[in-house]
Amino acid sequence: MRAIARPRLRLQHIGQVWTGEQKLQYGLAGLVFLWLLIGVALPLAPLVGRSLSDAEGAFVGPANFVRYFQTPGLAWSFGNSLLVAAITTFLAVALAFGYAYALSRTAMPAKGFFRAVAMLPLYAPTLALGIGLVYLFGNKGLVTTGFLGLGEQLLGRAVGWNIGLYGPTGIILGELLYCFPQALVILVVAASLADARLYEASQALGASSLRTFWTVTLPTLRYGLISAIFVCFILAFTDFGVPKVVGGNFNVLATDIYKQVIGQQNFSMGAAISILLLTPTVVAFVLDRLVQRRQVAALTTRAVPYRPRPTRRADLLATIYCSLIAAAILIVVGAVFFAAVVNVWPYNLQLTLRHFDFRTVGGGGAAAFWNSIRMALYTAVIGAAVTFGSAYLIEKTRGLRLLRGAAYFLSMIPMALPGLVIGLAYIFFFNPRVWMIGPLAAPNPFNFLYGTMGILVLANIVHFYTVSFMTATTALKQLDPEFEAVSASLRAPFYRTFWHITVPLCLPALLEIAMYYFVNAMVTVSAVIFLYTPNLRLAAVAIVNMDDAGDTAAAAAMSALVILTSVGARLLYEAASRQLQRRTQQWRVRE
Amino acid sequence: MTQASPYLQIRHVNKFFGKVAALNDVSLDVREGEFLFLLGPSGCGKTTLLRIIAGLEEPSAGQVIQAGVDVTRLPPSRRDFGIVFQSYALFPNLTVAQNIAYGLESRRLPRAQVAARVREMVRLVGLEGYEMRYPAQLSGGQQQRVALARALAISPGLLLLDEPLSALDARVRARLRLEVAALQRRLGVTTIMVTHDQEEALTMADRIVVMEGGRIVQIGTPREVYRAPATPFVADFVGLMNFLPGVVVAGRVAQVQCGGALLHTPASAASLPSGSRVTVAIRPEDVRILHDGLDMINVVEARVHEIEFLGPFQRLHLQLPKREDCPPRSDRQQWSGLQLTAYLDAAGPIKTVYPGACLSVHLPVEALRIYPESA
Repeated sequence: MRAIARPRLRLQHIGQVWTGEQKLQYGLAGLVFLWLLIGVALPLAPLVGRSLSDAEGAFVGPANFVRYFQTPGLAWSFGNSLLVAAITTFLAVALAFGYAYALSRTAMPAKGFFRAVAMLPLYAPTLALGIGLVYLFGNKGLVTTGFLGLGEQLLGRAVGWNIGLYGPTGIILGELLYCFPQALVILVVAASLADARLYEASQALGASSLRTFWTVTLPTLRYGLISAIFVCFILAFTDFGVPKVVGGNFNVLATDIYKQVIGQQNFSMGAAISILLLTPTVVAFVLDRLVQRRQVAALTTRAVPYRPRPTRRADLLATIYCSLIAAAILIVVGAVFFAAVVNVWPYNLQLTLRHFDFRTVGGGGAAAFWNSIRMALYTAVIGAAVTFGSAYLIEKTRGLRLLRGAAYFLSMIPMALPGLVIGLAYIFFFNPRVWMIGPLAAPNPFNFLYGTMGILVLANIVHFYTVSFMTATTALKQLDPEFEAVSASLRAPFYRTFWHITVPLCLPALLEIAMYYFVNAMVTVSAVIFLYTPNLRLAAVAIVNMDDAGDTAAAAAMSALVILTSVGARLLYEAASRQLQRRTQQWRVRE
Repeated sequence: MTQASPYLQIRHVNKFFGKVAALNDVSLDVREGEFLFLLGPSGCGKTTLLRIIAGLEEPSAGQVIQAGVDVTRLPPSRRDFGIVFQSYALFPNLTVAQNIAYGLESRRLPRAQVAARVREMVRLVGLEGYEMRYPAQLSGGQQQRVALARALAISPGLLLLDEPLSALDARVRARLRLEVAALQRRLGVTTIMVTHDQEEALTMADRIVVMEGGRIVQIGTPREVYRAPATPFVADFVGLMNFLPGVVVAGRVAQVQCGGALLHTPASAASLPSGSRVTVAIRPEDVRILHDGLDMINVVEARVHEIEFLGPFQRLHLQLPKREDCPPRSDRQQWSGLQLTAYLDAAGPIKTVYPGACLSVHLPVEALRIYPESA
């Protein structure tokens, strides 16, 4: 072979001619970058700034952090948060692993039912899970009092069991309920990637089922397990709702921020604690990214999906295991509903709907509930449109590699941002009429958003952006990459192909994203608790306020309403999407 | 072929992905109406070149001139081409008719005109009655035709085909080869097709451009590329070829010393300095099995090593043996250790051909090609 001599090139710079259509597409891609910059990146700057300043805004360096760790009541919280998150993560992933294994690798009956029940906590505010636990294990709880003394009457001796709910026990139980479905979703997806051919090969080579588990099952689940561990850790570390209700005197970072900001109006300390809350989250997030990058496609196109065969003992064990967990979830959620309709717990167990009349209690009442629904709807519609549009422009635009890379990076960040951090950052970014950047003063062009529905919707979209964005990106990646090339050759502008081809093909994913936004906007409290105004109260926040004021029954009633709404929305969505599938997706049907 | 100015000119096109050169100073003229093939193994740059012609990739340097216009800097939507991909990229949520109409509707043609053109295209590719089907309801071959109809509906000046037959099974592929080639000739649209399948290129092309390592190594008609491959790479990639290492022997006639035997070769070898290393190449079908034992030049003894039965003919794997393996007959030459593939008509006399048998084999002078070995 002759060595390839590189010819002398006249490397003229070849800039493409931009057509009007391209200018439009590039302009839109620029807008995507811009909104991510404003929604995600920029608000973090004043947060960091405030954490290094005193109450008057003077720079004090790490003084806030030093003071935090020197204040005995506060310093413990960091360790407490870590401890609670670690134990929760271990338990949630272990339990979810068994549940996912039962769902995907055994032939147990009623899988649909078990799957649905396991997902139930996703449709409840974490506060509601806490309230459910209070009614079971609290001072006057069903279990604590031995079924309200009923057990004693029947058995002739005290059967009450006080588990010491308030404190780490309660927090771990609550977070466990909250994290379990999140881990389960990830593990079920990972388990569904099983290639039946590997199991057949393993069997044909005479491997025992234990060896098959170690050599085939675990490796395919490895990345799912790691992901589940990081996700659970982040959620349990940053959740606010559960420790708010059942934390007692056991302080964690999330409740500390709330107390500093809402209770003491100490924004600088709140910002400092936010940074502390953010740090482990960011570390976990980065680690997860690094690990996932090493994952290669577990499932090739030629893989054969695994179909479990019935085995009597394993199926029975799986059914018992799943029944126990499902029962636990149903009992806690059921307790909320029960508490909502009982007249005076635990003295008068007559059923009543009087707790649903919110006029006598604080928190904003029925108006708050309707505000929440409005907010969830806006979040769903605007969020789905913005998320899908952004994912499309980032994924399918030719050229602009740097801008698209930056936008993709910004899209990943919200995953690592706890809701409380977003809320606090938004206060600092949107509240001031004038931004002070060092000695410079600039009018804040986004101040008009502050205290409006707009900032609530934006906060929600950003808070739940990454998962939605990944859903959209995955759907887009499944489309033939040459659609755009073919369209260009047919001189169809990109927006025509987007509207006529891309959107219809991705409709299921689009609806899924809207649903995800709706439910999460409905149940979230952490991102909005710093941003709502007295004129614009929200249901989830009302639960906090009612619980704070001791109106636990009303809080339970509001929780029940929120759960019913999000579950109802899900059912409506299922029915609608089935209809839609039949009407508009007929091209999927082969003859 | 006319000598009019070429429809498409590629001038000194280079493409780097990072530091890797995908295309290295590629220049090429495509005549109006011809069916041109870009042939080569994967990674040779043929698809990159096609994408540059379409405007889907930007060249690092060089020019693309289509119908006299420099289109190098134009985006795909401003160029004049239709394209069919290996995946077809049919819009799955549109029917056959809607897929074909897609490009016509972009041009804001009147509805009646679109419908008429769709009917015409459906008839052209023989899909009458399938207009309302969705792509998922068609066979691979039918989908391929829809993709072709969609690309042709807009009457492009240039048709680009990116391995359009590769996803089909062998039987359908063979039939569609003929159909596509006939369609191209009937419409007379200038067509460039990318393939790694040399048989496809040989059967369908007007001209073949063979590429290797980002460079063009030969341009010619299928006959030229097959009969007179420019390099051993082309000879090996297009069809089967026997290669025998040798050394040029100086003399009045061109001769090459090959494994102990002296071969008379075409005159081209005479220009090479004596003692230089060469590769002698001969197609298997040019290797003659002698039954009558005539005395000729370039006749050697060979031993049958293996026989492959291929239906219409048999492929013989011959070993050019050492002296002790086959008893020498008259002055026929002896070789050692080299191997040779030849064909034998399955209908011919085969009694004397069996594994282990010794044969006389004739390597005609005019069938030999000599490639100087590069340093």
